[in-house]
Amino acid sequence: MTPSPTNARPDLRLVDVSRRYGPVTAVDRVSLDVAPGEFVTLLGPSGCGKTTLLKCIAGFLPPSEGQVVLRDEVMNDVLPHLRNIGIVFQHYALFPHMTVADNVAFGLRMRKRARTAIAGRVQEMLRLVRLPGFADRYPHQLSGGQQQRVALARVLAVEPVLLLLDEPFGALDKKLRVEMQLEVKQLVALLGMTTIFVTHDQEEAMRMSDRVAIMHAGRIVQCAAPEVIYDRPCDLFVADFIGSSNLLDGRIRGTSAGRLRVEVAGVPLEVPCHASVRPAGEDVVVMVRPENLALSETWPSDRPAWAGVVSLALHTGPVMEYEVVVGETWRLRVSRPRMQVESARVWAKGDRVAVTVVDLKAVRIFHGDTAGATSVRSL
Amino acid sequence: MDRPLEPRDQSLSTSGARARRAVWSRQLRLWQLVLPATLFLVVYFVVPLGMLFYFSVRAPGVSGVTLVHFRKLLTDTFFLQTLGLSVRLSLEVTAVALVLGFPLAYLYTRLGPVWRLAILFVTLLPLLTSAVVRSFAWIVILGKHGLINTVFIGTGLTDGPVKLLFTLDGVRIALAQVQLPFMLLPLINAMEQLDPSLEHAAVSLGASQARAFFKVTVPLSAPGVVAGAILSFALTISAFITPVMVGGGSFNVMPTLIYQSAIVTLDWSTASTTALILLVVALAVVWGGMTLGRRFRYGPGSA
Amino acid sequence: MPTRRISRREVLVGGTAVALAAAVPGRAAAQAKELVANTYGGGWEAGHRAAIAQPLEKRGIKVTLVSMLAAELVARTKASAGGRPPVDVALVDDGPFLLAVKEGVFQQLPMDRIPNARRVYAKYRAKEPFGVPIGASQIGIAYNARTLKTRPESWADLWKPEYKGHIGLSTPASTLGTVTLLSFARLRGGHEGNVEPGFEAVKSLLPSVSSIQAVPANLRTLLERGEINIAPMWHHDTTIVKMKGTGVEFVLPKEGGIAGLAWLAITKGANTDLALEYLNQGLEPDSQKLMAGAPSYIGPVIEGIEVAPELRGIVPATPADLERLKTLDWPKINEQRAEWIARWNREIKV
Repeated sequence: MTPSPTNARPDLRLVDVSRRYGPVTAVDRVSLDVAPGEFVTLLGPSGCGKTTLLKCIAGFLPPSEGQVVLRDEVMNDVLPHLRNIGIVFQHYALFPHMTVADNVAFGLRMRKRARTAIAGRVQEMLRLVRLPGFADRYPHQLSGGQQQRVALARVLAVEPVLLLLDEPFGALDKKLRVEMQLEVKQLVALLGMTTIFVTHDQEEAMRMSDRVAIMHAGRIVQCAAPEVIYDRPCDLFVADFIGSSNLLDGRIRGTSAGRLRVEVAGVPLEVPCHASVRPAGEDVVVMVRPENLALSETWPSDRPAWAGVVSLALHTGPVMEYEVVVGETWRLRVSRPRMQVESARVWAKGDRVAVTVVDLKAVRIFHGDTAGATSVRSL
Repeated sequence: MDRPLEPRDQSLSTSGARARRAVWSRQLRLWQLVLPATLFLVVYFVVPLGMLFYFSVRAPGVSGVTLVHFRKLLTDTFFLQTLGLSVRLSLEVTAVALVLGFPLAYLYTRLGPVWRLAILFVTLLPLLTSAVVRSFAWIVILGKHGLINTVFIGTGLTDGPVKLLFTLDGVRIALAQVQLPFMLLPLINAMEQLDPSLEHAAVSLGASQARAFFKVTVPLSAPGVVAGAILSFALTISAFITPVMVGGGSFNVMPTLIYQSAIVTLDWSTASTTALILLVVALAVVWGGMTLGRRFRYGPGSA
Repeated sequence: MPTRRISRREVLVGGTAVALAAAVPGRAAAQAKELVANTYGGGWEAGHRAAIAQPLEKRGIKVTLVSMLAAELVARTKASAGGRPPVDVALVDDGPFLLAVKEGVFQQLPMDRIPNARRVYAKYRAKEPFGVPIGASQIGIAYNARTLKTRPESWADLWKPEYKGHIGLSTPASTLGTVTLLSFARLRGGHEGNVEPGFEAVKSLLPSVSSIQAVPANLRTLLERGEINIAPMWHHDTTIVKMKGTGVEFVLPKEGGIAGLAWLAITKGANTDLALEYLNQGLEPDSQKLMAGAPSYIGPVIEGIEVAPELRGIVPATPADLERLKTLDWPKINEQRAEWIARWNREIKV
């Protein structure tokens, strides 16, 4: 597990939090520190325990074990309405029988603020989310994006210690989703709000987070900055879950001068050795991102290459995605930017190509028996 | 995507004509399908209602239309008192059913399938027996030597028997039991449509569980309350057997007046007029309730 | 496509036929040898089944007995005028009988085709040939001898203080209640033409009254359960309760019981031939004797029927019993009954 940033006092600290439903362990000894102003995402497939963990933090579920600490105060026995944690729900959970203004004022009224103070704060929040003229509308008169902003305004009005976002963009169409992601990110950064974001959408997680915590089977398997997660996944599950990758069966052939020699599909690769040195003859899984593979017509003289035939060529706009068949059984996914100058060539199905690794430093090697490997081995 | 426009237009126009024919024949078929139901309604609803109108505006010795029956009833203080009692009793029973049904419905939405089934079974069970059998059961329960009084006197809660049987209170209790399912089902329906995160949202904003319930769940269940109340009111104001059996002859409600005129004295004009007045009053109350209920509808996607 | 069109038409025709069949007023046309008659339920039904329906069924006539009170029967028969009546043979009390005759829903009877009608006591015979009496009842006082130590002897005894809180009454919407009202009126010098003393009497009795019932059968339940312990009641209802070992006794007040006759009549549109057999069978001595015993206890309307010793004086049977029975002027009562009911509704409240 990645160590937390070394700030003096984290806003949220989870200490070995577990939650069990009978024999099922939904959250398994999760520890996490979130620094003030930090944006941390809980990312994982459905059923990984991220929503349960969120409920434990919010107080809707008591943890079976462990502690939820909010600014040095143990929250386990504090009722949810006294925790001062703001939540934006998946479908926003705006109160349909209240106007926008009443929605935003709700938390303030619960805190028995003065009437004039509430009115002022509501106006302020609506300006902040760029909905100043919408005070008297009802939620059903708003678009999805507008509802989202009202939900944010409602939560931020009470100045929570911690903001929880529970898959808040799931109900929006793709274009609006990206806009709202940016908007939320900017707003949260502006206010310096400590935020925990739950999602199963990795692009969303990568785009918005300071750190991403990958959850699998109730545990946080890796928690790090998005680029670290992408470039240096800690295990096969993360490697497969984040982005797309070629996970290839290989065998260690030996080491030399800090380099590991791995044979993949009959081609020896010399990979810089950053993990433990592995014995020769061991079976491993080699991860190569599709963008780390290049295609050429001519055989390269300076590096090893696979000879293959393009079996699939797909346009996705900015990049071309190819599938190249190597030998009888190997299929390599390759993606190349279309505007790339040196290989302006676009390949078609049936073309004979040489496939090379662009940057051997970005190749990762995993034990064959890493958790989850069986399900991701198929190429 | 960049297919030429022309062939598309052509295909549109030909398939459009076909589509119009298809729509027309579907409408024809639908019309045919509802014909039996329409006939049924005409024979059993429109015709009897027309006969009620006819009898209410005719009188022996008077040719043409007369309002003499309406004048007679609407200037009769006893009739108006009975009408008032009927409306009041129905409102009270509806209120009792609501007070009992609301927490039950809320509980229902928060329990597992076994408890849900138990709640439904117990509340719906009375509907499986006839009103007569149910009323005899109430005589056994509410009577001087009945279950309730035995418990009351046995536990020293009261010295002598409390008079429940053949009183308005007894009728209120018996009717509320029958109306409970009609109140409960719309309430459950309304509450199940509520996003559970609404209450969580209120709590996370600082509302206690109780305040979240009253500020969010209660107002948002209003459509169910209105639907249940309308059903319960309409069924109570037209209830006959329970007021007669459990109430004894100690008071009259509108249905007993209608029975006396229609069955005992064969005065169909008075019976029809009474029934029409009851119908209008009941419709007015129901309409009022629906108008009130419309204020609690929050548009699509809100529930 | 052709198959679909046919099935659609079938749906249409079938559905319409169902709706129309359901809409045809009254019951479906009865089979030739089938007869429908109403009865009052309880002891009446058992009596009718054993004494009339079963002998007829031995002769191949199927009898369907439906439970329907007199007033409802008359109202429904009137409502079905011109179509099939709800029953072929109607069982009705004095008041509803006369009302129905006035409404013209019963057939005039060919008395020569009811040979047993000759046996009927002269006192019980109809003035006009629209029905035959089938059973005689009398109204007296039912009381629980275990709970109440004093035996009531007269209608006037109901006002005794020891009965306070024990009394049950019926509203004049029932025959029993109407008769009770008139008995009270007579006690205080009133009569069919002047019921005022009756209302005065009921009002003065109200403090003692525990319950007023619109459905007389309920009085039976209440007596059994001890909710009331004394009430004006039909002798046969009282006897049914008595036979359950409840301690309830029937007292014929010294002023005499009041006769209530149950009539059989034939509705217009009925199967007349079969209905006449039903009427005649009802007046057979064997049938009359059967109905006079358990569980019906209905007074015979023909001479020469012996009743069980313990029922003597309760089930009116002998000429001497008839002597003590008073009859009421039902045509006159019917004229005013609606008024009485309305007045009772307004003025009498427990």
